[in-house]
Amino acid sequence: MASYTLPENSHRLLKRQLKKAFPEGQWSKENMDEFIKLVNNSYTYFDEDRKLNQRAESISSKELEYINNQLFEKNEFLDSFNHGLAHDIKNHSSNLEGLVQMLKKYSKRVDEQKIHTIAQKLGTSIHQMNTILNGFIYLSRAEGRIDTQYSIINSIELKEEILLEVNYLLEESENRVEFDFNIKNLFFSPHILRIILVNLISNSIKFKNPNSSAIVKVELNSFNNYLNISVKDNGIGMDLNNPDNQIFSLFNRNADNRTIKGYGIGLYMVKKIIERNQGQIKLDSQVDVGTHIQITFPLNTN
Amino acid sequence: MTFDRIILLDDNETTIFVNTDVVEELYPNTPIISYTRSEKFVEDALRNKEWFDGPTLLLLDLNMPVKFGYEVLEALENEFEYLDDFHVMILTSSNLMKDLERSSRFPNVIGYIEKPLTPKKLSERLNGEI
Repeated sequence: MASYTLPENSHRLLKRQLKKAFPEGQWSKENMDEFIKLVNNSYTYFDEDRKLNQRAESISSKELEYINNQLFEKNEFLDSFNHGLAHDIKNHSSNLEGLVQMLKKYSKRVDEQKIHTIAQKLGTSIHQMNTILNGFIYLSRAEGRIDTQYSIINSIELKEEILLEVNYLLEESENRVEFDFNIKNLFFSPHILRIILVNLISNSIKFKNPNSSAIVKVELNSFNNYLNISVKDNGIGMDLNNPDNQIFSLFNRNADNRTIKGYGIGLYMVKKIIERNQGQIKLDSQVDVGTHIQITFPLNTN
Repeated sequence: MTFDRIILLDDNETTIFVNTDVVEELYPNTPIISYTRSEKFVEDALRNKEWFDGPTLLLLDLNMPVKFGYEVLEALENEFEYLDDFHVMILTSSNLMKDLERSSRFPNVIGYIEKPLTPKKLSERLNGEI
């Protein structure tokens, strides 16, 4: 008969297992078998736990990486956005300051014509600044909260909604939008679809050929579980070889035509939305002929 | 410092309007030519090379977000070897050196003015720098 005393600092689990296997503190083959079984179980649990931990770690690190990427992207966006915004607003506020100085100077000389012009310019500056701020508000809202929830979209209702939003651009002109929707009902995010179509159609009309009315052809069809969106116009087009025509970057307005109003956020938004939803965008353009934009999204069949 | 001509280049028409008034106050008898499109200015500059025979001042807007001023300086630098009597004053909406570094390598750039342009700032900078 042999007995064994564990050192004081032994692990409590080992102590417990020993006590269980050797209740009398006496050694026997049966006791030993029981003990080995208990220790073996412990190792098995230990292994399982370790594997579980590793899996949890890898899942959370993947999640963290994903969130980190998103944060990085967002930060980059905010950086360039703030930079551009600050400069644009500074330019306009400088103009306002200058105009007020002029107003002081010319009001002493009672130069009515000049004062009238200054008042007009003040109005323009304030309007431009408001456009920027509205764009900023729109973007800060839209960036964070694009509703990607899918629902059944009725193409007739979609048409009506879009026309309602671009109507102010069509008023009092011969400009028109032609829809060719090959789908009656579509399972997609209505919000995404609306943002894209309204932005593209608005751009087509903004960049219309000054000598003719704008005709924008909007097509929507689905093929092989893909949604195809096509917006084609007869506008001024652009030279895609001009490196300045990075039309999808923030604040980059068409370099060929800087006089056209716009804040340079529309296409940036469109591209971001497409990227985030596994879509693809293709751009064809020719100066004085027009621009054709094609977008494809994989359709969720579930 | 006097000039044969002063050229304003800024893509914002209101800025041109205000700055023309500022320049006129300081230089009532100097012809002012203004541009809102950089490519038009470059085109005209290449056609009117005599512009650079006499002292010429260019007030150049450095429109950061859409790269505007650098192209002008680069285009002129490519065309002319060195313009002795051509002076560029950069107007900027930022006083950050980082934003200005890129243009400071052009020898014709004589200084910077943070917007808004005022007669006081312009005369101080012109008298201080030249």
